[in-house]
Amino acid sequence: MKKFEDYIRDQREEFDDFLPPEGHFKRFSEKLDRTKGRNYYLIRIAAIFILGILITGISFYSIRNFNMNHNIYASVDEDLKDAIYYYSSINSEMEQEIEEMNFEDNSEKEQILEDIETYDEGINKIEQDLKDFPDDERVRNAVISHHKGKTALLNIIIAQ
Amino acid sequence: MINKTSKKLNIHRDLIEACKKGNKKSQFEIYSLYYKAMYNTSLRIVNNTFEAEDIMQEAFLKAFNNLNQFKAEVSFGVWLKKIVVNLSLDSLRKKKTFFESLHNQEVEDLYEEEMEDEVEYKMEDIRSEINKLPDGYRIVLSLYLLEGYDHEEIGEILHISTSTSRSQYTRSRKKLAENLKKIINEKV
Repeated sequence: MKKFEDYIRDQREEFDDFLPPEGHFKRFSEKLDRTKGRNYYLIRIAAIFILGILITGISFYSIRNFNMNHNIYASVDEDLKDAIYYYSSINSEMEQEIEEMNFEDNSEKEQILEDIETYDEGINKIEQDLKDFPDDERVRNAVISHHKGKTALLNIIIAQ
Repeated sequence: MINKTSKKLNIHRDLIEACKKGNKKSQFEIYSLYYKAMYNTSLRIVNNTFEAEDIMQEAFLKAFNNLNQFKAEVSFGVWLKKIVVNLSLDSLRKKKTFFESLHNQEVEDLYEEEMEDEVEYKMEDIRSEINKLPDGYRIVLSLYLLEGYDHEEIGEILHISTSTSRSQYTRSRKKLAENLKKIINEKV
């Protein structure tokens, strides 16, 4: 005599015997492609959004022209240096990860790396402002925001 | 023992890592490994072939998009199955059919009769009769008996109490046994 439940559990594999309707592999492949396209579109939107904030910041600070010539971080306090170092390290690791990723479409990867480079140009400009206005709270905040923004952007790229 | 378990849990680790990086070939490989089990899990809940396929595929896409949240504390299959079950239940919730039948049940202590009958049923009859059960019965029975969840987990998944899950299961098992006996009597 065998308990009904034991009998069913013993035959468990036979319950997974049905197959999806014909053509499911093709339909899944199409869905995968659509999702990749959608994800890339979202990454681009995120990049454009962050870039927009960046350009606004740069425009604001670039109208001031000072010709001080010394190292960017020379006159920056330790707290800000630590924060910049922290975000730069994280971003550098994530960039490395993205560079090592395998993309189905190489042009997609190139475009992403190009976007990151454009973003970096913005950071460089703001850091130039930091050199000129090391005590200006707005410049200090802009530098941190840019590094944070880059971390967010890289996170989105990796997650997708 | 722990090493053995973690090794087992990480059986497709390389494939999963490649999926994280968006490698389509690896994603397809994972799909090929799990689609059948996941399709059948969804089918047992939604009871519709096209809907089950759609849900199963959506579950894979959702899993691939959220692989960073997969911590390998459970196997990938268990993690994926939870997504399939949740999406399948969401689909039923939209129709409201299952939850009406489940929540209208009074919680009572049913006599847990042991069904020690000698098993003489055919597997195809059992499968077919499970599919004919009302949604509430079929889902609790499938989750407990075939997907391996306990009543506490079923309670969490379905937002019902553990005792409701238990009594619903007892009723469904009884109903299934009655229907199977009818088939045998008709054949005799």
